[in-house]
Amino acid sequence: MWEHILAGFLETMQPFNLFLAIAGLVGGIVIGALPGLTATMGVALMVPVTFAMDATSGLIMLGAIYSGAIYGGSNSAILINTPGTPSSVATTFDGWPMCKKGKADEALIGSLTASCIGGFIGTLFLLFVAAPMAKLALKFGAPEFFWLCIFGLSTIAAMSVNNVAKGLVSGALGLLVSTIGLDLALGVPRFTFGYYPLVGGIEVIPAMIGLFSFSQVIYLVASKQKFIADYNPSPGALSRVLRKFWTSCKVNLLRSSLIGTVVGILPGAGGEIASIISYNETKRWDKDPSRFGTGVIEGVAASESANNAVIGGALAPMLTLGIPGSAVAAVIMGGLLAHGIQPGFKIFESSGNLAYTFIVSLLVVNVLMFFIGLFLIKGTARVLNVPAAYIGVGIVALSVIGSYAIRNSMLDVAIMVIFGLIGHFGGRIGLDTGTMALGIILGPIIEENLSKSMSIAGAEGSVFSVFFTHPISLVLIIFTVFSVSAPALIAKWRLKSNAQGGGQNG
Amino acid sequence: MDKRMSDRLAGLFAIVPAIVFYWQGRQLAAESVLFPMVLEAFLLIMGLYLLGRSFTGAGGKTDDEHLTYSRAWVMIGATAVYLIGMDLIGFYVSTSIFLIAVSWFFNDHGYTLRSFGMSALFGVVMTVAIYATFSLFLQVPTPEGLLF
Amino acid sequence: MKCSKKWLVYLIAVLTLAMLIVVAGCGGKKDSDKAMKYPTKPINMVMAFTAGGSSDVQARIMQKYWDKLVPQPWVFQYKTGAGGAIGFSEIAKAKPDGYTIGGVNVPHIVLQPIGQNAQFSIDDYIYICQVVNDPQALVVNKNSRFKSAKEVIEFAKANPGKLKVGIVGTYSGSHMALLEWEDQAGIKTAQIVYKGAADQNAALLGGELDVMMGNVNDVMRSLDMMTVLAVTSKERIKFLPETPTFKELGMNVFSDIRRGFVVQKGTDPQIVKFLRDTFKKIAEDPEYIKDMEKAGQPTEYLSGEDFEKYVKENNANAQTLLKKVGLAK
Repeated sequence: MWEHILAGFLETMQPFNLFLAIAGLVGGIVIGALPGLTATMGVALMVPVTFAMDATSGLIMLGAIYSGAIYGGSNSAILINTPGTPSSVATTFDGWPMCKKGKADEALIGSLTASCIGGFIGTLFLLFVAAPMAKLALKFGAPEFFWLCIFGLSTIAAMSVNNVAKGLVSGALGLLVSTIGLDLALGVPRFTFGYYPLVGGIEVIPAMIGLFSFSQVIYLVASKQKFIADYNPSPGALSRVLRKFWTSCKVNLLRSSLIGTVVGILPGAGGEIASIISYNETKRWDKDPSRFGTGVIEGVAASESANNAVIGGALAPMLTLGIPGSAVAAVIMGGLLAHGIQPGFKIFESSGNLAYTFIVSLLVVNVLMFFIGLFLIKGTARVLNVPAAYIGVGIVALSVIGSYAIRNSMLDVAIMVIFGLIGHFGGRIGLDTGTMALGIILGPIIEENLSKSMSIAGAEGSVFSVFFTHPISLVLIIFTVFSVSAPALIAKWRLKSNAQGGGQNG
Repeated sequence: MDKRMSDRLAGLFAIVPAIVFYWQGRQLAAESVLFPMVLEAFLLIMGLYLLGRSFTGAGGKTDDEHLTYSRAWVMIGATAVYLIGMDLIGFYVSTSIFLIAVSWFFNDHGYTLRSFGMSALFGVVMTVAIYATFSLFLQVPTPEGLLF
Repeated sequence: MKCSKKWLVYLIAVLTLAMLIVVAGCGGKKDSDKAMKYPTKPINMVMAFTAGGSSDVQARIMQKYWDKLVPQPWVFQYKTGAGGAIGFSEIAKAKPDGYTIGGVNVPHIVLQPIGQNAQFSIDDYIYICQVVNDPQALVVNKNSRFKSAKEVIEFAKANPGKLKVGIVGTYSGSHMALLEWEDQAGIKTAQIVYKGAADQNAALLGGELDVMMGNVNDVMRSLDMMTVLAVTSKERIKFLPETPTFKELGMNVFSDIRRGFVVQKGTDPQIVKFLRDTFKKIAEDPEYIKDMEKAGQPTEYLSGEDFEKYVKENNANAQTLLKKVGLAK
């Protein structure tokens, strides 16, 4: 194995392969940063190009695009409060407040460093324990998935401590909207309001672009701000971030990377769920959860390390079982097959060189990404120096093209605008765009697995045993109950101890 | 905005969609509407709770900033015109017009020739950048219209 | 001042008129020459499934060979959603000028109008050719207690509604194959619908499902861990020589997934002929066939006429079957 790893490293270091890795990273970061262009799209666009190369070089480039795009999404999340890919939704929770406080450079460097660390750790898992990890994917059935998503949803309760009722309404509205379209169990059109094109459902990305960026533009022009946020680049940002990560974020980064890897393994759950769960867990285990959402780097670190760790996880079942753990992994598998390589447990023997080179190249890519990212951040942060009038209209134009790019449909552009209005005016009455986006993202997955679980329960004759007796489900249920009740309990406990301590802050 | 008013509107925002979706799905089979029904019921309860709270709860100001809505409506209206224009005259032409006109309207330096020049420069550079990235490099289709 | 303004108006009027005449002239010329000179601009290739999916990969391979024969390229447009129905209706609605070709899947284009009020019908298209035929397979986990299709059927007969069968999507090839199998074997199963082949395969390997009905192409990737009990093809499959067909087991289960290309009804017959000839040339290119094999695409070429005949036949069968099981009126 070690000789394979060494050979893979040398192969990656070939000038042509290094060039492909760098080009892939830059392209990926740009694609990821543009709202509406996803990692899946970026990788899919480049698969035909790899047909002309040998399989190893092609894979190195695809892996670099994948890593770059998932990281790139955080740039727009931080700078213009618009997640570039759905994986970065949770990055907006703290990244954007940091930017508003004038700490954009720290947020950007933090997200870059966390992405590289997360990606590296995820890949290490892929390198050493791919096969056992893949077996874990098989343990996750429909009921486990259902509970995993409910656990993800419990974030809502934690996110909106001061306003639980409206937070829940926002989440439920998002979930309800996500049920528009064909239902999965019977395949009949639902909630199309007599307008046939809605049968395709509300696509997550246009809705998300609307909720985050178009609503933001309305706010920006209405508030008469001159710039989106103050930007005071301070020379020591890099070393400050690194020191902070080393002293107080080690556990956070490890935990988030682990969550990202595990969620990545599961087919059907990707970066968006991993980053939400990691964000929530980091907040829960923090000494002072209330500071989350006000612009703390720990929040950015949790979300971004998790979504890049997903990559290693998603590739494990793809390589060893032929079951891709994410949409991007599925596209990469298409590329593998086109080169005549069959995935499976044998891949490490039959195509050992290729498999190890691919994995080792991902490690190299994550190191390269750090330096390329640092270089690019200098440019991207300049966005904040552009007057708000230009930025506002620029975001509208990008939102339009980004919404259109997903399905090439003007309907999606209209959906983007409508959700922008809902997001803005809903925000005025205390509804939360972040939780609504959570609902729209998680809704289809929850319903799919609920419906599958019900079908299974129908066959086995017991709803209870399907939902409440599987061990992984039980663990997730306990987590969920804890997650929902913890903020209230902690608040109550604080109140009590405050009262006993004579009103002093404990 | 008054807190009660905000609660009342949020309550309606929960109840109205719940009823509309229930009405839309009333003829579908149980398997198709199981999950939406749960959500509708939940929204109805939460909506009623918020409405109730708006009548019994404490009033007071919500802490929101002052926004100039005339400017917001200009932006929303301009976007609507932009979308219609895109269908009629094409994505790139309408994008450059939208970028130039609206960024000039919102600029901070008054309606001078100089500020118009800035907006024009911005509009053209941005359109070219979008064209280069999306059409040339990524070959992602852009909305089609009569012209370019 | 006034005078000059008047002149300006006249000038603009004259110029506009002149432009209109030129445009009209061009238009007229184009019309008469269209059949001779096609294509004169890039052709839209509408894909009803996402970039990077099997349909897309197939079309991209084809594009490579199209580019060698025809100077105008394809521009890929992804109109995805609702199991392909969005894209299929987009193709049907496009202007029949030969500049919008689309990829369609059977049985999807047959079943969606019957079961889901889709906004197109199989008569909206002119069929260019069929390029892929992927049969369905009845598959169990390698460690399953079932060793043959017969054992599965016996279990299902003894326990109606208890056999958990996974399919991918409703009104899809695997759904159809399951309905046919239930009908032919006289059994009733619990159908569990998955979104994609990946989670369906994972569920079978993880033991959530008893059996599954899936594309042979998707099953091939996990063959070390699965046993194929029967396939829906007319003859045994080359790389599964041990596996019987449903036909051999005495059941008429033939559902498969076929992919082909279409244009709209009303397209100029000369354009249709050009497209059919070009696609035939590509489909018969040995290099193309080799590329398809490498990508794991089960190639089967049918001419436009034969493909249309197949679609009509499939439609008649589906109507009867769906009526029988109560999914169509």
